[in-house]
Formats: sequence, C-alpha cells, structure tokens
Amino acid sequence: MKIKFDFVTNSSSTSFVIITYDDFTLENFIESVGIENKSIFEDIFEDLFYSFKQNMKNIQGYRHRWMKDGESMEEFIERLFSKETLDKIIDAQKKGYNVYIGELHSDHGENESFFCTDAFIIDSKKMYIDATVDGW
Amino acid sequence: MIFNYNDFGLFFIVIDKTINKEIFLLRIGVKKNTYAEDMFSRMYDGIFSELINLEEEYETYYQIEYKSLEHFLFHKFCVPDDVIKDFLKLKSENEDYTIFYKKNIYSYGDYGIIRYAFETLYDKITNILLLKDYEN
Repeated sequence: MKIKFDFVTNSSSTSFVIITYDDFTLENFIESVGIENKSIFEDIFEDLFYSFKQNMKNIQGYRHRWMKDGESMEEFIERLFSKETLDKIIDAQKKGYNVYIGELHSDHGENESFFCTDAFIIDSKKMYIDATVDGW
Repeated sequence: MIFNYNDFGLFFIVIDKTINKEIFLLRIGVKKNTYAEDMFSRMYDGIFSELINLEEEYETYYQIEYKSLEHFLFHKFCVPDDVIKDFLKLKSENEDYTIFYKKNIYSYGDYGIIRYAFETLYDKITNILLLKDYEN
C-alpha cells in the first residue's frame, strides 16, 4: 500500500465534436462564439480556441476511448451527444465538410478547466461545436 | 471587492447598484443569441441570485438597533474591521457603490461558473460590477 502525504488532485476530461463549414481559424471562432473583438474577455475564448485546436482529431477512423466494444461512431455520437448532432455530422460528411472529435481537460489551465465543465453548443454559419457532454 | 468567510459562509460584495443584466452584457461585449451571451447571462444570474441589498436591509429593519452601517456589519455579521474599512473606502468613491450579501456564494447551484467568475476572472468581473474600466 502506498501512502501519499502531499496534495491529492483529481482531473477529468469531457468530449466535444466540431463540424467546420469554413476554416477553423481564431477569427472565425471568435465570431462564432459571439464575443466582441474589443472585449476584455476575448482572451478566454482565444484560450478555448487553442484548446480545441490542440485536441481535435479527425473523426474518420477515430476510436474514442469511451466507445463500447462493437459500438459504431454513429451509435457513440448519438449516445454521448444527441440525434440532432449525429444528423448534422452525417449531413456535413455528405457535403464534404470536416468533422472532428476530441476532449477538453480539467488540468490544462484555468480557462480550459472551466470550459471542460460547462455544457454548451456553438452554432454559426462557420462551425458547429457540441460540447454538451461537458456538464459535471 | 468581495468578502466571504469560506465557501459555505456568508458572501459580501460591493456593486454599483445601477447595474443590470443588459449593462453587464454590454460591458462584456457579447453578441445576441451566442454562447458568449448565454455563458455571461448565467454568470450574471449566478452572481445576483439571492443577493440582498445589505444597506437597504439595514435602513429598513436594523437602523434602530445598530447605530451605523459599520456597527451593523461588525456586530450582526462579524465582518472584520479591516474589511469594513475597505468596503467604506470603496463606497466613498461613488454614491452608487452598495454592499450586497447572500447566504452562500454558490446559492445559484452552478458552482463552476461562480468559481470561474470570482477566482479566474476576479479583477475583470469585479470591475464590471463596479462599472469601472478595466486596466490590465
């Protein structure tokens, strides 16, 4: 048995999917999230953009660690997110748009930690992000 | 500025009493029907949920019992002397600066967004609640 005498921390992660209808750029992201460019809070969404950018993987052929044995990506998306998000993904793939999946982590800085625990959808002409799994 | 004994104790805050949700969101710089608007709306609701105007309460119910606002804060709520001095100093800057309190900082139920507001975003959020310009 091991005994730990200093701080014991608990970290976690939550999943997201991103459909891009345009380039996934900081400019497009800030516009989609709905914060004014001159806002003093733009930096927190800039952080969120880079968190997504670092963690997003192409959904094609991706095997998520939360998928059950024998579960298809479609079944997984519907179970974890929603039928609506699955329909959007199928429609986007038919039209040739890129779809990504990934995770945010609670131990990757204060901003990512907050967004990791918040449940939200970003829906614009340039992108669709479903991070509704993120509610703790 | 804020003061709370601990996470589960009384929470005190000085706010410009003329602020409302519309001004709060305008100062932050969010666009309508976006995630940023939703997120900061929830933050506003979380801050103002169950928030009581302490000065109004003092004047309406306790003025006869406590000879001043300082006595009221010290004897009724056990707010430390140095905190009372800081509150009064801040209040002297603007006649609309008012002391509010609530029984629990997390009364709104969304622990994450309040923690984010008063820890990570403390300076920016308290400046907005005082309708001050933020200087980084």
